[in-house]
Amino acid sequence: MSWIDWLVLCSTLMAIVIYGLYKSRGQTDTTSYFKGNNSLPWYAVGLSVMATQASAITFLSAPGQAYTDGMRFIQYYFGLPLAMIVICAVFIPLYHKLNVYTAYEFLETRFDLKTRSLTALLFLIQRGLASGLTIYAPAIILSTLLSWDIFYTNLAIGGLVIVYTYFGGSKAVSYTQLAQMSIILIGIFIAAIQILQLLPQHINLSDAVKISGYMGKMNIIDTQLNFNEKYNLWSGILGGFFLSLSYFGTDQSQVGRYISGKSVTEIRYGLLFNGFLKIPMQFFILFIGVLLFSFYTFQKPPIFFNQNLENTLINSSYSSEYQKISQQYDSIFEMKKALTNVWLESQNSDIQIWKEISSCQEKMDLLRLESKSLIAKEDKSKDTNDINYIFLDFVLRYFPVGMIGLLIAVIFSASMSSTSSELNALASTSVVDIYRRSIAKDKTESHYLKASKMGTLIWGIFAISVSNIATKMGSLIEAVNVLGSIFYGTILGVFLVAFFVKYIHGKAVFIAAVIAQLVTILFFYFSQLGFLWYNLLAPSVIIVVGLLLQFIFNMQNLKK
Amino acid sequence: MKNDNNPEIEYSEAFKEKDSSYWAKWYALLILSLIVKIAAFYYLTIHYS
Repeated sequence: MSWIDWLVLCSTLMAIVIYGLYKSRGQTDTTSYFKGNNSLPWYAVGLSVMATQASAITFLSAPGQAYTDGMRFIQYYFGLPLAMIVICAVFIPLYHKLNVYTAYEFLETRFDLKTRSLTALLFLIQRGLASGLTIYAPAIILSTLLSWDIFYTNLAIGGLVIVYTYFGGSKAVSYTQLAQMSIILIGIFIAAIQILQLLPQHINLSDAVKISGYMGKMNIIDTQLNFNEKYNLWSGILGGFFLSLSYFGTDQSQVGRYISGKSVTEIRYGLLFNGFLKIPMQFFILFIGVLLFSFYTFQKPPIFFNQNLENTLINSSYSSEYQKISQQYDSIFEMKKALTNVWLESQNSDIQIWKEISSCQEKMDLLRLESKSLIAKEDKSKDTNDINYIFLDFVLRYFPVGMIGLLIAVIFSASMSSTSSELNALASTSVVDIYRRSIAKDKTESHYLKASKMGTLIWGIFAISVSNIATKMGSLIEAVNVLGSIFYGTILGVFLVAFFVKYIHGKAVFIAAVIAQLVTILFFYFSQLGFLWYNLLAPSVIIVVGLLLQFIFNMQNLKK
Repeated sequence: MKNDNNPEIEYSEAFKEKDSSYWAKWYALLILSLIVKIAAFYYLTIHYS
């Protein structure tokens, strides 16, 4: 990176941190620290909710995913607007009426302390580990492509977040997210314009979409009902609905964002804003991947988007084999490029030529796979999946000086915005649901404020530590992601019973939650069920088992 | 209906009534926009494959 990129990156990040600290000065109690004195307008609520969900990996991974697998990932978000409606209509009025600091606080009012503590603990385990990955995931990509030290990259992202989250609490998180989301939206818009400008003169937007689309990249909707398929219309609407309901309605990193809103009306506007804009925003990010595919039809794509993998092969005993593959790859690319130009001149009507283009693409994909298998032979521990590197590799190769710094700032901003929400939520759950409720009751407000700041610092250090451990333990990442999807369903099930099944009481829901958790774990080990369905499975178990148990308990009480 | 003993009741009830129908329109609009988006995506899928 040039000094101009460094200047853009550092000044953008510092400006965001200073702005957040300035807007959040004067924290005096836990209400201001965790709820920002309920002062946020609707647009700040909406952008804060969106910024929390959009982690750095969203921007790094989504274009790469569309480039390789097409746009079908968008279906994952179809249940989100429906979940926003349920949250606006049912969750928000109750949270607001009870004036809660955390979502789990509500569960004690409805059930009992043990159910509140169980869900709070499930959240702390899952979100605590995930916060480390929110830092680690972009740090590993940045450090690989820019040759930065992973430890210092983790420290830079985590350290900056700790500074403003520690001092400014929830308000600092929300206002920095406002700035971060603005930078992110500007960044992705500039990226799309830049790709369009880099396309050859004779290629317009429609041609670019046709080239990618005919190669299967515009596979946005899949109407087939297949329970083992991760993304289709039905898993997107049903599974996505329950996942979004769980994430936005019961995950404190999201609940903590919108309970800072000025009023029920402002909060509802903020969540509706998210419901309207989330799918178009995600579509736009994925569409960058589609444009990138067209761009690489006329510009040779690297065999490996992670340059380190190529260096491994060049310096290995498989170097000569790789050279042969590389030469074949180059000549097939040139043929594909020439054929595509002929096809465009024929007004996209020559089917025979298109078949030849598809065949060239298949050969290129095959050669990429062959190269990856060579790496696996050389070093089995190497991760050959380079989807997350596609977009950033492109930025570093083709973006002008200054804009690289801006795009790196976008990635930092996205990572920091998610991490800050997580730290704030982890601190509020630890202090409000565990420390103040069960460990140190009846202390002064200033004591709890100090404890809250300490909680933020401790969870921040924990997140950085997890991110550094993850560097050394590749498989841990997958384990933590699975852990997250396993717990979400159970937490949601408890909340659904709390809101909609008045018949079930504390004892029954607690036992049902433990059983649902075990069932989900069994399904994870012994079935092929797509993970989105876990969010439907666990709540169903909790409701059915809860109803049965409550019936038994009622009968026992009657006998007594 | 006016409550002579307590005018506040009329105000709060009227506000509540208006409030729920107001939000119902927003929710309907959100569902409609989702249907339009899915339909547009379906068209793009068919048109470009």
